[in-house]
Order: sequence, then structure tokens, then C-alpha cells
Amino acid sequence: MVGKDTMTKTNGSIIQVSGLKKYFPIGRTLLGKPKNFAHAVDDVSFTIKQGETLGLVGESGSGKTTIGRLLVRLEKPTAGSMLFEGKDISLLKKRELKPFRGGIQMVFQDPYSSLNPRMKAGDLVSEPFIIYRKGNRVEIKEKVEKLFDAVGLRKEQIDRYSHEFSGGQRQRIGIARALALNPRLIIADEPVSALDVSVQAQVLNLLAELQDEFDLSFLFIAHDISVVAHVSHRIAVMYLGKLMEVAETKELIRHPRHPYTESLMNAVPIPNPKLRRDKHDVPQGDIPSPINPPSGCRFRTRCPHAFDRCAKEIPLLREIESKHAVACHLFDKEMEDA
Amino acid sequence: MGKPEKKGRALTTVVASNPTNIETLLRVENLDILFGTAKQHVVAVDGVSFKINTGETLAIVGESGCGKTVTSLSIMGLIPCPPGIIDNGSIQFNGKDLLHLKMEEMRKVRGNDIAMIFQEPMTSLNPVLTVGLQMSEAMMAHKGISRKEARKRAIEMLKLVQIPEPEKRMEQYPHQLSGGMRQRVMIGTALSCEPKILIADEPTTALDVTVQAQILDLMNDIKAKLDTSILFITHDLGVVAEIADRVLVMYAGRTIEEALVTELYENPIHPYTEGLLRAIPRLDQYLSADNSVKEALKQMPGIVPSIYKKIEGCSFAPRCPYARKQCGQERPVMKEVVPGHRAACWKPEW
Ligand SMILES: Nc1ncnc2c1ncn2[C@@H]1O[C@H](COP(=O)(O)OP(=O)(O)O)[C@@H](O)[C@H]1O
Ligand SMILES: Nc1ncnc2c1ncn2[C@@H]1O[C@H](COP(=O)(O)OP(=O)(O)O)[C@@H](O)[C@H]1O
Ligand code: SF4
Ligand SMILES: [Mg+2]
Ligand SMILES: [Mg+2]
Repeated sequence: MVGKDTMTKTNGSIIQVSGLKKYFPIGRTLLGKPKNFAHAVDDVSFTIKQGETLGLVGESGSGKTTIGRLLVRLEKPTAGSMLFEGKDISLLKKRELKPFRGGIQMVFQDPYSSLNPRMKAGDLVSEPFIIYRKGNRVEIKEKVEKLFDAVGLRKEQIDRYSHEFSGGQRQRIGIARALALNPRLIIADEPVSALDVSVQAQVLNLLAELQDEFDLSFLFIAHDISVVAHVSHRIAVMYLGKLMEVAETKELIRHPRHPYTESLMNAVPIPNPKLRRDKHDVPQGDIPSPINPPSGCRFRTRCPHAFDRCAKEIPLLREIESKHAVACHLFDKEMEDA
Repeated sequence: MGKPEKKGRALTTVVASNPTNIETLLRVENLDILFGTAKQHVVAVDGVSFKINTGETLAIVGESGCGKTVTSLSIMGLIPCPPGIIDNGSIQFNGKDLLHLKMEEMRKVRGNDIAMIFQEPMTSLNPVLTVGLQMSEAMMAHKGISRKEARKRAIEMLKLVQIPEPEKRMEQYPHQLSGGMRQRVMIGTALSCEPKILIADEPTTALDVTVQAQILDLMNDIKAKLDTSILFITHDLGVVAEIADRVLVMYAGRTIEEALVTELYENPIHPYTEGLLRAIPRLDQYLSADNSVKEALKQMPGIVPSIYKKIEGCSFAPRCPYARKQCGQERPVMKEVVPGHRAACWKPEW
């Protein structure tokens, strides 16, 4: 549990991310220096409150997975800080990280490749206890049974191999494994994207139940804004390494302010033929490469409203209304007037 | 500079095509497709029947493994035999049964009358040929036109599929194009021989949503311009609502419901369709209702049955909240429940 001082210091946040960057070196010159960098995550700041689900949505290559991997420190940040329960984990060395590893856990997209098919389901779930030396065999067995129960798997399935499970069940094993060490924050990276629709709902409902039961906070990553909206209290929209807009779910869906969010909303297929559009009002062309991202606003090459300032200055993410932040020069004037 | 007024969403009501001039182009009847040997096999497609009318978009929707791709490959004569066995059924097109055509005749149908595009364009684009060459070769082979003419037409097709700078693209190789561009090239190539039917198997599944929206617009556009019928295959009920005139729902190798698109979404008859529609998170609840409360998704229990098991009654019975004894014993067949709306379910009869 969180002590009282950290509580005040963190203002009720479980994680505070500030100025986070990750540049991946691409190619090498003859002298061994990187030729280029992929600006996967570029100056991203956000916080997640205790018990909150923050949704992170964006198209492929926008940097969502990289943010997740940075938070669980599978990647080292190029710059920035990540305060988990008040402590900066961005610079910790492997050994120093150990106490935090249990606190933040990741659930991955592909339940097929993220679990070793030659391991029994029970062993997969007990592995974290063994690695972190938590409890003796009897205690571990008991904990594993509890976790199986919590994620809706049957006790008899403990001795089955993971390849004998369906996609949805494998995702449950992945979730049980992530829950083993009593995490406070779960990074769920496209946890239902590989699943069939009828099974998606089972897993989404399970995550919601577990959130209440275990008092979890979530960073819920997905490319599908309908799925993200369904599970998230707040949503952050990402494009080419940067956050474009952050707002509470209902507000964001009803009143998207950033031109990119607007186009996402115009593009998303709505399962209601009565709302069919003659033509989708979406930007033409494709997402540019993160290796040489556009100057100024990353979205300007596809933005229908772009003007000269957009190429020159990077728009900062800032609140234009209470709890509604946007990174777009269209709002500069509004801000100055206010 | 102020923010421009937010544009209203341009909404149109879907109008059913005029019933007086509907003509059936293709008719699939009682199709059974197995994989394996006559003795030991799995049933991938089990008694599937449907038709495609002129100028319409028919969507086949269903979860992975339900037999969508196998069904469409059989129309193209592309089921690998062995291990595939077309055990029963007919596919009528232009007065011919495609299942009984000679290879040479089928090849002609494939090039000229029915064309297909896939989820991953790279599987059907030749990586060592420029865009221009692969498009013109296809036309030279099928239409017997000269290289020069084919090239001219290829450029026209690239314009039709709204590729900027088509002359420049003609000289590029598939890997130099983005996913969305490749899918456009595929569509252009498929349409270059003016097929009567375009089969599109999950053509937007691998694309980002803004690019998916572009491709859906393009396909709607082309259908209107060329009057091509489209068989659109997808697992996504959102996409179906955006593109289909009529919908066929498949489950575990069988067709379980068929209706015009608005009718299907408003009045689903089969419990599986009903369950699917309730299981998807939807944004329209935020957009329409003033006071939308987030409802838990209605989850469907269980999983799709294994095709290794023979199913006696209704294949959905183990997961169906309404199932009675009859459902586990007798197989329901597709029956018209409401005019133009068919379902394979016992419930309407109780
Ligand atoms: N290990 C890596 N090396 C080089 N580039 C990478 C690496 N991981 C991710 N990238 C690049 O960073 C960008 C963001 O990737 P990712 O975080 O996976 O995006 P998303 O999850 O939003 O699809 C992409 O352009 C990707 O190619
Ligand atoms: N070449 C093949 N050999 C054996 N089984 C196959 C083959 N192709 C498809 N199948 C089986 O047929 C069923 C239907 O597959 P498919 O039509 O690809 O489903 P969908 O396109 O709806 O996802 C699946 O169970 C699949 O495993
Ligand atoms: S036939 Fe029976 S089991 Fe099948 S869907 Fe209808 S009610 Fe359910
Ligand atoms: Mg990702
Ligand atoms: Mg398929």
C-alpha cells in the first residue's frame, strides 16, 4: 500500500510521466554511430490516478507499445522521468528495479506468442512467485489456485499446457500471471486485438471486474477507439510519438477538439447502418515515418486546417478547458484571448 | 484564427435497392467443403447457400475460422485439392456451374468475370514486377490488348483508385508503397478487366482506421461508377454497417442469418447475431444518447465449437441462452422468418 507522504507527494497519482522520450537508433555509419533515429516517443507527459484507467489510442507506429515497454522498463528512456508511486524509476539499474517489477505489470496483445507453449498453465502463473522468491510450494499452489479462480479459469486447467487453450483462455492465463505479484498498475497492450469479437467482451468485462477487486490502475493501449472508450475513464490520443489530445472519455468522444482526433472519430466504423456516412471525412495519405517526422506539428502534413505556424512550431499539449488538453495551434488564439 | 465550426456528421439512410430490377448474378447452393480425406476430415463449409445480385454489395460476416475465406476461394476455383474436397453443391454463374468447369475455362472466369483481393496485398502482388508491369500483364493476358494500350489503361485504373501521380507509381515496386497504396493497386488490378463480381476478403483488416475509411469510400465509389457487384468478407460488424447492402452471417461453417443490412442490425433474429451485436463496444451510444451510461458488454459464454467435432443440432446451441432440447438434436435450416429475412434457428417457431 502507499504510505501517507507518498500519497501527498503524488497527488493521488499512481504514475506521473513527464517529458518521456525514446529514440531508437536506426542503421550505423562506418564509425558505428547511428545514422538516424526513430522518434518513437517524443516528449510525452501524462499521469494516471489511483484506480483509474487511462486509454492510449492511436494508429500503428504511433509509439503506444514503446510507452508501455518504457513503463515496465523493458526499454530504457532516452529522456524524461516516470514517477511510480512517487519514485523515479526511469534511471534505475536492473538490480534496483526488482522491487518495482511486481508493482507494474504488462499484459500483451498476442496470447499465442507471449506464453511458452511447452509450459503448463499453472507453471506459467507460478513462475513470477518463484523468480521473486515469494512463498513456499504450498503457499504458491494456493495463490495460483486463487488467481485461476479470479480470472475465470478452472482449477483442473492448472496442469494443462498453454497450447491446449483457446485465445481468450490464454489471455486469461496472461492476466493471471500479471496479477501474481499484486501489481498496482497494469499496462494492457492491445489485450483483445487478437481475439474474436465474442471473446473480446469476456476479457474486457474480466479486466473491469479485476480492477474493482484488486484496486488496480490501468494504462489500456489499443488502436480501436471504440474499445478504448468502453474501458477508459480518460483517453490520450497519440500520433507519431506525441500526445495530441487528452480528455475524459465522454468529453473526448462527443467533443473531439484536435483535428487528428476528429479524423479518427470520422474514420471509425460504427455498427449502425443508419449512421452510415456518404463519405468519411478523413485525411488522405498515410502516416509519415517517425525517422524524419514532420517539423512543427506532427499531424500537419495530413491536417485539413494546417497553416504556416504549424510547420514552424511544435504545439504544446495544454488545457483548453478544464480537464481537456489539446496540442494544436488552432487553439493559440483562444488561449491568448482567455 | 478560430476553430472552424464543427461539421455535422453527414448521415444518410440506407435505401434498399429497387426490387424490380434485381437480377441474380451468382448462386451458391448447398456447398459442402471438407479438408482431409474422404474417411477422415473436418467440415469447413457446411451446406452454405446464397446469391449475389447485380450491383449489390453482399457482406459475409463471422468470426475467424467460420469458413468465409474457404467459401470465397471456392467461387474462384482456388480451393487446394487435396486436402480440400468439394463434397456437394453448385455455384451457378452465367448459366454455368463453376464447380464443373475445366481448368482453362475457370481461368477465364477468374480473370474476366470474377476477381478477388486479399487482406495482405503482398500475397498476390509480384514483388519483382513494377506496379505498371503487373497491371498491364494481367490485362494483356485476359483482354488480349497491346502493351501500349494496357499501359494506358493501367494509368487510368490507378487514377480510378485515386492514386496520386499514377505515372510515377507505375515505375515503383510493391514494397515501395504503403499498405493503403498497395491495397489500391490491388483493387485497380482486380478491376482492370472489368469483372462483374469483385470478391474482397478482409481487404481493410490490416489497415489503420483512417486508411480503412479511405478504402471503404473508394470501394463504395467504384461500385457506383462501374456497377460491379461486391462480395465483401469481414469479421467486423462496424465495417459491414458501412459497406453492405445485404448481409450473410456465418457461424462454424454454416450460414445462420441473412437480411438487408438495416433489417439485420435492427431486428436480428438469430441469437448468435443478437449476441454479437451486444458484445461489441460501440461509440454511437456516446454520440446519440444525452445521458449515456456505460453498460457492461453482454458477453457470450463459451467459444466457437471445434470443427473436429460433428455437430448434430444447431451449432450455436452450447452457447445459446434460449436453447431447448430440440436445438441439440435437430439441425435448424435457413428459413424465411420475415419477408427477405432468413435465419437458421428454432426459436421463431416456438
Ligand atoms: N526496437 C526498435 N527499434 C527501432 N525502432 C523501433 C523499435 N521499437 C519500435 N520502433 C519504432 O517506433 C515506432 C513506434 O512503435 P510502437 O511503439 O510499436 O508503436 P504502436 O504500438 O503505437 O504501433 C515505430 O515506428 C516502430 O517502428
Ligand atoms: N488448406 C486447409 N487445410 C485444412 N483446413 C483448412 C484449410 N483451409 C482452411 N481450413 C479450415 O477451414 C476452416 C474455415 O477456414 P476459413 O475459411 O479460412 O475461415 P475464415 O476465413 O472465416 O476465418 C478453418 O477451421 C480452417 O482451419
Ligand atoms: S436453434 Fe436453438 S440453440 Fe440455435 S440459436 Fe436458435 S435457439 Fe439458440
Ligand atoms: Mg503496438
Ligand atoms: Mg479468412
